[in-house]
Amino acid sequence: MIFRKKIQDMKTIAVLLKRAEQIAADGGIGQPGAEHLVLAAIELPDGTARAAFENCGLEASEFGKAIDNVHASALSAIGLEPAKYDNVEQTAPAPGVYRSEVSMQELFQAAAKSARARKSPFTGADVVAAAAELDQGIVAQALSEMGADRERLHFSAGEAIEASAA
Amino acid sequence: MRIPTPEDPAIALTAVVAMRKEAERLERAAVAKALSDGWTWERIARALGVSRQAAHKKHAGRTRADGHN
Repeated sequence: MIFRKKIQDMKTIAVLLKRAEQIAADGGIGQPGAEHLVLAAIELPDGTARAAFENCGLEASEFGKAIDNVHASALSAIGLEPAKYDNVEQTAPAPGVYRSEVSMQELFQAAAKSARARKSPFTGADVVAAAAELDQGIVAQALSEMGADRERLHFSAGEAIEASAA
Repeated sequence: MRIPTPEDPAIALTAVVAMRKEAERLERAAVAKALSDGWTWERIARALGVSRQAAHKKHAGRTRADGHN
């Protein structure tokens, strides 16, 4: 049973990390950050990350827009606006060893630690719960942009995890 | 463009992260264009101020058309 759980967790995590990398690359970013991990968690088929947002009255699909808004606001504060790269080709890192920003590594480790302590499967809501504890950086700013109460989101993620284990 | 002075580190650091992201996106688009214009890796590396190996490692993955911001 434990072995099967570990195999399932490994599959979930592989999908999560690969998708985070893809989302970052699609946005012209070579190394995914914490925000890409949350976006990838929202897409996981277990639906728990989505449920964590919805239980707070928030739309998970708005998180990506919130990231863009934070980025645009930050540039606007210094008189710039984001460039548009619609249908413009961009390079990507050479295939090989998986690379990510420290922010993503730390968020993932916090989420994984929480799942291990609980001894139940790793879920997308584990990523959201860990993200809700961030008080600096783009994830925290995007959540604030969405009007999310971090404490409530953390609690809501816990509820989503419990519901998925039932 | 007005570069903020660090009186408010929250605003300044957020601006730094945003500029870093924009710089990377511009770099990837510009290198893709350079490659399609026939630039060599050596020429791209010189323009970026990095080694040829570093430029290749960072940019040699398949190019993609970015459909969104």
